[in-house]
Amino acid sequence: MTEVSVALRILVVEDNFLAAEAASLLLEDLGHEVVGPVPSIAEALARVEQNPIDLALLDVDVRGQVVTPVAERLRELGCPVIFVTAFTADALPPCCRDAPVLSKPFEEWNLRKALRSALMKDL
Amino acid sequence: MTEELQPYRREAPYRRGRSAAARERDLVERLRGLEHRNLQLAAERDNAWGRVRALEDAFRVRDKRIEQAEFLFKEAAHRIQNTFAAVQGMAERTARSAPSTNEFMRAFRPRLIALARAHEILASERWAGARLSRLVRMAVEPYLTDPDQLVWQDDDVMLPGRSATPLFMALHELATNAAKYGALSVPTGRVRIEASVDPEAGTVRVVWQESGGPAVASGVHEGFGLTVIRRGITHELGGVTDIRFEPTGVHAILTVPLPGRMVRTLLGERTAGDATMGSTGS
Repeated sequence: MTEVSVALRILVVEDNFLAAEAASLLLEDLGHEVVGPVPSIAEALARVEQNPIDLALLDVDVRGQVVTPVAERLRELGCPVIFVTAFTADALPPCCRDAPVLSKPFEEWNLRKALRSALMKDL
Repeated sequence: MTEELQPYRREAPYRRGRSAAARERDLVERLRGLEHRNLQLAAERDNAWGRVRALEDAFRVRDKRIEQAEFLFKEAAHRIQNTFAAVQGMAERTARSAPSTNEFMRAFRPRLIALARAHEILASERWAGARLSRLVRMAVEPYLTDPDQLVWQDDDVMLPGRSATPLFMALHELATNAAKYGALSVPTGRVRIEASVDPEAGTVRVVWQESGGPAVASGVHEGFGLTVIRRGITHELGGVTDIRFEPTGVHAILTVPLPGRMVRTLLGERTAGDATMGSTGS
């Protein structure tokens, strides 16, 4: 598989601000631009409409709600997503079961792999 | 422990056509030591099937408890994984501004411990919530040289579980900053903390006011510390922060949303003059 070498605009949806820091810093280390991070479904949906994004990193459980509305909207827009979960037994939004899933916490290698996988599916 | 488990091991499987008396004995055996009140209720019934029904009710209560325990387990699993990610975030951010590994540990260690304290408080309330007065005491007391340095006043607020950690981390950052550079760095300094609930807005407002300390220069000492306060309250809780470095000391106002039911509990208690919430404190 080829390495993701282009700089992407990546939306980060994560309500825990320190976890969001970790994700954002790792993405920036890989040369990507972080949109957000945003802590709620409403703000994520607003961001999606405001600015074009290339990919989204979605925490499955945002303030006690499943991130499904955001995942569905992104699917409509043809934007690839990566799910981030704090508990692997959590149900994923039904629209996007083929999307890569990252378990919290994750490191650069996991992230690179998920990015590749999300973008390959998209192509 | 072993003795308590014995009845379960010995229980006979149910068979079709067994008498009510036999089934009753099984149920009593299984519940022994678990459901005293329901067992008593069952004993008071004067017919066997009535007692069986009372026992089956007792089982339903027990099943409900198991369900709640499973919910708590899932909740705890989420919290643990999220906490690992939060620790990572803290380390990533602290490492990026630390000039040496020693400096890194000096900045990282107290935050790691603060996070652990917040979890300790939450765990003691079975993740359901946390008393604000306890968060304040645990965050500030370690940095006092004299108990009189802290002046504390509140509405006896019980916070929802998810608010406890960000608020505790914010109070911890304010306390360490005060101990290093502010009012708690001198014996004459004072920190006054007032918390009040606004039932209309559905918020709790925590006001931190330092006095008697050395003059404070605007935020020069705290980079990530200030971020922890601001982002914890705004990003994580949807609250508002107003932090000012005044000549007399730091003046911070943290406003955090409080779920409707918690505001109602608080108001209900106040009008009824009922102090039951105090007993759930520790």
